[in-house]
Amino acid sequence: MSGWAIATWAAIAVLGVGSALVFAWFIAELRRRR
Amino acid sequence: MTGLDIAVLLAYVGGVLVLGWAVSRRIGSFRDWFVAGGQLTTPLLVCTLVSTYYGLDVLLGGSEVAFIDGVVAWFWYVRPYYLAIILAAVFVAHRLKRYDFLSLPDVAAHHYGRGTQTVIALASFLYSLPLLAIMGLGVLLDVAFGLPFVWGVVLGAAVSVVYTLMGGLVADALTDTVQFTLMCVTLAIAAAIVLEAQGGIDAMRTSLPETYFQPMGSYPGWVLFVFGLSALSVFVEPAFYQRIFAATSYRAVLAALGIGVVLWAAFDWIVTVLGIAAAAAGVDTEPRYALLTLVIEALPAGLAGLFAAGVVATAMSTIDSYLLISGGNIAYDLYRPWRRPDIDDRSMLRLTRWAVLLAAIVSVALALFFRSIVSAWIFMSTMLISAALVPVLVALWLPGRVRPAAGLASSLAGLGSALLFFIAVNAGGATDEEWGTVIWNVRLLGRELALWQEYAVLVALPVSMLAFLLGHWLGAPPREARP
Repeated sequence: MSGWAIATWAAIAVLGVGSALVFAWFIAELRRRR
Repeated sequence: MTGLDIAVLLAYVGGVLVLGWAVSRRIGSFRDWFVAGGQLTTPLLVCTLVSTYYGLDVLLGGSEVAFIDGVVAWFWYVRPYYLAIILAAVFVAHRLKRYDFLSLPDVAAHHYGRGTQTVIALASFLYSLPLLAIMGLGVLLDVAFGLPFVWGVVLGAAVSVVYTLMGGLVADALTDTVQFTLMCVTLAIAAAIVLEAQGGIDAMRTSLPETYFQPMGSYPGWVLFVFGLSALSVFVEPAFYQRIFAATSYRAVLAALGIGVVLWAAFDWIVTVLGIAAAAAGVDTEPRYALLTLVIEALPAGLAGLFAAGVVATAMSTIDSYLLISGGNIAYDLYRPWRRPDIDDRSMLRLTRWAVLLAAIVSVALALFFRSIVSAWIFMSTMLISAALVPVLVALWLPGRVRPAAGLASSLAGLGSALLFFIAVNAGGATDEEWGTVIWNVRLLGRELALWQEYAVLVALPVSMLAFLLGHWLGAPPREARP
């Protein structure tokens, strides 16, 4: 696999996992406030 | 698009409207509505910053550049923004948190007075009109459902307006969290499926010219420089300022921007790769529609609807945020200081809601009038940079020393010279089919010079600096010292 391909799969992982983590953080904070 | 796709999309739009209605019952004051009462914490800030900045101008504009010229889209069209965002977070955000401002023109009003506030509010209004996102929505509903462009534009704007009017920045930030997750996840899935189908990025390399994978691409150097320079808009970005004022603390802003930059970089890279994939697949369409056409054809039923909802989310998170700002520019920054300086909170809230509606109508009219995306984006950010960058940054860095005449001269001369340059190039030049922009070829001192309309900022920024120095030199000092 070339550097471009590795960068692309890394970006896909960051988007999928990163956004899910941020959303989970938001939900956790919402629960704590209630 | 199947019935399942349409059901997914409708469920999303319905959910957003219900959320707006639920939030509207908790709004008590203008501050609650406009800057969420200063209560935005890190995760909310990440979601609202990332999704607001990522409108269809990036999704379609970025993929447009990638489709035409390859990875230069990431290296030169978007990467300079990360640097600007990090610099703004470190050097500008904490200075802003010291004051009790609600908007970008408030900064000008505090340091230079009403005249400069008005010029910057006008530039901010022009910049903030979400016509690109509204145009993009019209295109999407056309490509996905065959809905006439005009109806798509009006329908998309109407839904965004209704929930922005109801819930203000709180509803905006809350729906941004859903929109943010939806747009990131659907784009990641779409990219994985498209890459699998095409045999990965390495297979694309064999079918495309080598320049597609050179960071400098084949654009002229000056154009790349202007692309990079447009990132300066971050330093005076109204939505960025509004979110800093709305944050609970400076630390929350820093954390949100740090996480945001990583997500933005990933998002942009995927958009770039999908633009290149469309070129490699030989998608036969206008460059700005390449990404949508490729992805909607590649995805199975249900997922296509989810992706369409993701794109609608991308557009709506931008439309609602900027409608709020451009409406605020009319009511809070332009009308209030001249006509009703002592306006009460309830009237301000009511007036701004009407102004949001007005801004939406102007945006829809412009969206139906204009066509191109990248050029329009460069035009709008040029207006903002030319009018606001010099006076606002000097005021934040050297408060107490600035003179009202310097602010007014700088913002007026910057905005004026940028507009004149655009008018001159459009009057004297012609549309260049290869680059899709207006270029004016002139002979100056015996040399051929190709003036792109994108070069306006190269003239306007020095003019704005010069005018600032002249105004400072000739103008009177402020009557009382400012903190």
